Amino acid sequence: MAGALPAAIGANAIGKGLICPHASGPESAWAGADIDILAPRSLIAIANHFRGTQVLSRPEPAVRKMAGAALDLADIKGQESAKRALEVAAAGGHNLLMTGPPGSGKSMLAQRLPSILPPLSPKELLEVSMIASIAGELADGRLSDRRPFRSPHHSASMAAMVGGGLRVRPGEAALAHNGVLFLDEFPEFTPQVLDALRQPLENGECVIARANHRVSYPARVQLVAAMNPCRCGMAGQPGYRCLRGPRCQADYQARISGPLMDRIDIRVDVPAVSAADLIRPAKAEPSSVVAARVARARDIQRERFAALGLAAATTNAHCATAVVEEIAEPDAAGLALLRDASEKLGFSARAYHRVLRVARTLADLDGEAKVGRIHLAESISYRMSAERLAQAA
Amino acid sequence: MVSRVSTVAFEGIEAVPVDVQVMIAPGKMNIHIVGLPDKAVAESRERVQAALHASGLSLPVKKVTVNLAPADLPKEGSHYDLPIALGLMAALGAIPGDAIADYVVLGDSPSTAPSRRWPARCRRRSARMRSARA
Repeated sequence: MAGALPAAIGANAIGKGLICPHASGPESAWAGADIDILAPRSLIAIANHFRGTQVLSRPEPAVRKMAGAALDLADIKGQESAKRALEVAAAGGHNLLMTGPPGSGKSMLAQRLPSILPPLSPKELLEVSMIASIAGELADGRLSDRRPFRSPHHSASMAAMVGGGLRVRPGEAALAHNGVLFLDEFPEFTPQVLDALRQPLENGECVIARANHRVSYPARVQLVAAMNPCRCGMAGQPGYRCLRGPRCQADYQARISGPLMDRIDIRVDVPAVSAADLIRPAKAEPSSVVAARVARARDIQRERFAALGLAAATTNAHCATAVVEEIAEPDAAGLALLRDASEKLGFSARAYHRVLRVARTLADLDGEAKVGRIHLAESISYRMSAERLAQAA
Repeated sequence: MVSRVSTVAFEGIEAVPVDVQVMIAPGKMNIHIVGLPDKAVAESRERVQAALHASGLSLPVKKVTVNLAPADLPKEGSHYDLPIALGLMAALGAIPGDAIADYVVLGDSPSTAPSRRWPARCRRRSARMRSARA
């Protein structure tokens, strides 16, 4: 049954107990230790409880154990630059776009992102579970502290993505709140659906307005997208020429609107893996090592934002723009580089600040207090795809 | 014979308080649900009747009116079954009306059968399939 957890929290707020079906008991028990919950199996059981002949006990909050270990980064051979980008994206909560030919491992990389993300804090857990509860997606009423990872198929409709429909249900963006929204085959999504994500990506909430409803769902997501460079999928590979020429690539990439692209901080090329990388027997770095580095960078952010009096869950990617200029002030050499790059590459105001955010995350990963030229250089390189760099040169 | 049970309607992740008022009055034997119920809420009439019957309670030969207040808020979903059933039981005197006043009630079809669990064989198989997939 949908909605037991929000109902329990609502009941607690007005100082009442909750009666819900037996299956929803463990879920609603999360609302608080002091709330009185009755989860009878049948109508007879509740009648007996009030008569005092068979008193019901309070259900216990249950935690879902993850079946099997999560997918591990060690499975991926080669792709070191893409793994680095994945780590940076995880450390600062930045949006990520991976471009590469089919079979190069984009989806594999994205699926391993949850394994390096830190677990949900108790407050985040409750937010995530409230949305999952409304959508009726809490299995057996058990909560898990793993970050949500949603990967809707590219046939998704607008209502499926941002929410809506008959009962204004939460969409994929809301269900991925505090987690990852992975869009594989990015340009294959309907343009309207993709552009509907622009507001949630900026404000961190989906506001759905209908004649009968006006509902706002939290949707602070990390967008991870994967795409081929062109329709035939191989553009830019050594020794390959698209049959339709350069138009093939331009047309395919034009399906993604500029404003949406502007919101993606880290864009990385994922080239095909060479046979040499595949043959190499040595195992790559496991997720646990990367996750430790990510956790350290997140700790630095948490302390910094706590000192500024901001919410504990704030990341570099989601803090207010005014704060960014204060916390990510570059040194002199960095400032000069940033000024040059902004002029040559025509950064928007948003792009400028987003470059600073990524640079701040890179400095956090290095444990540096000040954003340096090297961090800005890497950050700018993530923003520019190869051909735009060539254009600017 | 009037009883009141509190429940909620959902607006996004907010729970809006809703009152279920059950009145049993002399008249032609029937159950009416009013207060902008959607199809799923309207159908709870049949489910509640079946659940009460399965619990050994029979409906009185009277007119039963179930009002979902506030009347202008559309009620959607199947979680009104349990509050309606408890409201009816309180109106019939099967449970004390003041005892449920301290609770918010919600839940779908109050189980007519003692258990809705699958047979053990099916549960084992689905667990195997889940672990094979992971």
